[in-house]
Amino acid sequence: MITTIRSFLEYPDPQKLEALLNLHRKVSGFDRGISDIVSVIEDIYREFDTYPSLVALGQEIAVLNSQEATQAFQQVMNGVVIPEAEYFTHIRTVEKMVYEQRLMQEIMFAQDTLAQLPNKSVESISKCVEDSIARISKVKSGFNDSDLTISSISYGREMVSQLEQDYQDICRKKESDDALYLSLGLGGSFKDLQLKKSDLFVVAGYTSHGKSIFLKWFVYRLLTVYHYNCYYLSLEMSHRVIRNQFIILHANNKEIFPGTPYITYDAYKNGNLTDEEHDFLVNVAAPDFTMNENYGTLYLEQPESTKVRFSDLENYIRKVETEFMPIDCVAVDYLSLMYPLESNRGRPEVDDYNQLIKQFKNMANTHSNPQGKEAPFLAVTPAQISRNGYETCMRTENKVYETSAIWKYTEFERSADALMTVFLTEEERNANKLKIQLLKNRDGRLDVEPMDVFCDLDKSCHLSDIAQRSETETIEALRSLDI
Amino acid sequence: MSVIEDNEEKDIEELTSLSEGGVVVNRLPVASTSINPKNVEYCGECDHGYIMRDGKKMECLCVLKARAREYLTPTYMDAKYDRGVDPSVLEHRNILMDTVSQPYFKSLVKSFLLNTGMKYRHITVTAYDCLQAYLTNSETHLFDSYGKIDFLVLYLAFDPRCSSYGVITTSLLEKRAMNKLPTWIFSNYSISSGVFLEKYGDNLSSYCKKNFVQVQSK
Repeated sequence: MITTIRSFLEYPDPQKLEALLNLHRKVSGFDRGISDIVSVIEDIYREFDTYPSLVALGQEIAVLNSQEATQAFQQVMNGVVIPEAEYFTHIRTVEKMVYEQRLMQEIMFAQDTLAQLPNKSVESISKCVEDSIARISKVKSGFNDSDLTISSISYGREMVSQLEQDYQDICRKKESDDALYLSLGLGGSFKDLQLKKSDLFVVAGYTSHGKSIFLKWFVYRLLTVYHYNCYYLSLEMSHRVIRNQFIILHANNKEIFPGTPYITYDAYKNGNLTDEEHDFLVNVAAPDFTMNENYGTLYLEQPESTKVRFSDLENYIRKVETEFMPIDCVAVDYLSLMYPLESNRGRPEVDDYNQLIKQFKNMANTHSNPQGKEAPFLAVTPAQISRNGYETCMRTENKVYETSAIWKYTEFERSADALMTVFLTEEERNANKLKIQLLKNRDGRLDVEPMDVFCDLDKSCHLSDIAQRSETETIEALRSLDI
Repeated sequence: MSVIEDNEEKDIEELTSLSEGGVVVNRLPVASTSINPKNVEYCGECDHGYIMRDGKKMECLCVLKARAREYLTPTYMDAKYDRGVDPSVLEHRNILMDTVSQPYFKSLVKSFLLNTGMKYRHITVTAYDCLQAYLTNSETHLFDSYGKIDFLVLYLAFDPRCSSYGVITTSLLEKRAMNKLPTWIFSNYSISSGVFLEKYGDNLSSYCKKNFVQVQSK
């Protein structure tokens, strides 16, 4: 607790620290409560760090109350002409001040309420602390813009013109060959699966059955086929491993690099690449993947914290959008490894995880970019299949999963726009194939019959439902044709 | 813009359009092995381009054919396909065709590309294209991509007059040789002829004599 308070010394504002210490003294003996307040405030300050610094304006402003803040800002801005390109920075700076004010007001209010409590019983102090957490959390959510809504009223000409504008956008995209919908490029039961931004796509599977493999392939496809900028949050695997796997996946894409050597991940990680393979990987495939402007950009993130909350995810995305690129797809590997509670109090329940899934879906749908424009993204995450679900599947003739096979979190089934499963036993592994099945397809026909896709697991698995001809077979086939 | 044949300049058009406006594009304007579904005429016996064989879903031959034609590019797609060409004789070699007819040259390139299973990324450029790529873009981009592509065909026939072709093309050939990448050259004129020397310079002519294997018509 004291360490946490000390960390506030880094912020050069003695008033804030004093207010915190006073609050701490008032509720001495209720460390859990105060640490919750502190952790929420910490979140806000973490976000503050990513904001434009006031020093950039050439003067530091001591923020005491909203009136003074306004005056101070006006004083700084007096006579300064803001270039159009810097409007956003200045708006965010003012916003930062306002939220800092609100935060201070809430802390002062909590302090006064505690001081004026007629009865200093455990219950009354606990209630006061709870209320304070709720109010400070509200400030935090306001700060993250997560409580904004997108709304419209179906009255008047505006709605008609919006409909027309949406249709014109669709036509424009169609003409420019931009993808209206995203497909997996697979036939069979997946032929009618059409994803779009704002959808939640869930890939379910039993442990070690290729969920992450499929997820990586899918994200890779979005990058190279649809030119999507993708944000990949890894909570399970090392950032370095995933980065290298993406590049090896690219090196093994022989539609882009025909006639080049295949790179196995084993050879890479054991240092057994031949000179030719090494040269191709380092000098051709990796630069192409990272510098070719025709592909989307991949942002990989592996948080150091073991408790990654939904607000953290919002902040990560906001930071990437502010500093690097717009985001078209967010892949979280995987969502159920996130911590569903915003505070450290209590233990997470199943409902909290279900709420987290719902929030993720909602964010995909209603997300706005830092400029305030609607910017929905495609949300993708793997989900775990329960042992019971797996055993039931194994008893069926065609190895068919039921929707109820998903472990515990029923919200995956409800919130997902598309839900699929992957199935990979030793038999499939030896035959270089992956069994996949579609369990939910909100916008299209649903055929739950599983199908086999071919993938070479040693070569980072380029997935396809079409068996590949060998080089000799291709030459023979070509010779038989009238070309 | 230079011309290979009036109706067969799609790739070259793409190449030049990439350099317009000084925009640096590092995509190789090369033949692709993937295909736009709009260009496929399905045979009617397959299910949208796929057939089942031994329990496996396979690409139908009609799609393979369309893919092969797209891969060959309009420059070679209608040339004669000689199934008997042994690619092992030609593979990894610099080939010079300065005494053969244009149909023979196109047929040889087509047969080589198909008989090696469409495994090489290829592009056909003129000396003018090389010069334009060199001047319009920085060396690290378009021009450099010519130095790295698996299989480059240098088509020396209808280039407008310019004294720099020899230096630029020879430097490109040397670069490719350093990368152990084969180049094929087709010329309308013998490399020892006065017209060739006047147009492409002594540099290129002597380099070809030393480093290229000459192919004769049967």
